[in-house]
Amino acid sequence: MKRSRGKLDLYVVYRLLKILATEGPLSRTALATNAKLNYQRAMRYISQLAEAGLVTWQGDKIGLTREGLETLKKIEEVLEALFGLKSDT
Amino acid sequence: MRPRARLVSCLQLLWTARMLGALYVALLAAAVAYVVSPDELRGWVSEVGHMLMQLGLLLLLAAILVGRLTVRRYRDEKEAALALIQMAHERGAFCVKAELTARAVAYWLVSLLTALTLLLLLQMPLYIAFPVSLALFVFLYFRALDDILTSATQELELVHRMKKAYEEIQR
Repeated sequence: MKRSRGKLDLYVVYRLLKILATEGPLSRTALATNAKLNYQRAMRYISQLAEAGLVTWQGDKIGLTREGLETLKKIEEVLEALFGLKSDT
Repeated sequence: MRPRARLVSCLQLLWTARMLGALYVALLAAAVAYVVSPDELRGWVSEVGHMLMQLGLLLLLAAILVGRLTVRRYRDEKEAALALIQMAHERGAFCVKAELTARAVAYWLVSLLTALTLLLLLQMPLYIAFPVSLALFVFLYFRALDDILTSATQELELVHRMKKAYEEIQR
């Protein structure tokens, strides 16, 4: 997950990837609402995640790519290794 | 300690450092203003200085509150853990250093209060009160060092692992 512009908060990235992994492709508004993020902020994250190849546009919806799912799994593994927080993906 | 609890204390220390830092800058400015201002203004500047000193406790309470409120943005332990990892990446061992400093300050306050008690209540002379309070500080700190060193080693190890984890996620 490369950071091209602006600062990305890791927990927001995790939240967005997690929502897309559990809910499947969502519209921009639905994703922002589900993540409890303001629309502008959600869009900034989505465009950076798309640039990094973690999410992709599927028509007017945003979906998780294989790299996105792998990144989510990697984050879950790290959390389990460091803090013993069980993975649920 | 669970990531969320660890993050709360870390954020509280961060905000304490920020607020006390700002307070010290303001106090320094007041001290400089006191020195350079004409005699008729000194009373006013000194009042401002006293007001700033009284603000200290309020700022500490505000830091505790801000730390608690900030952590509410994280939905669960996993999000809090990720925020902690990011903090370790951005600020290194800040939390460990701040916790150890806070502990040392607590011991210093105990010894200071002892010195004041010896001076004011027991009417002991300064040359006795000062060494007694210093000895008390050394005794307390030396006794706590085992615990401090053990926890600092563990915490620094965790910080190192968190920094590596952050880099791994970034890749």
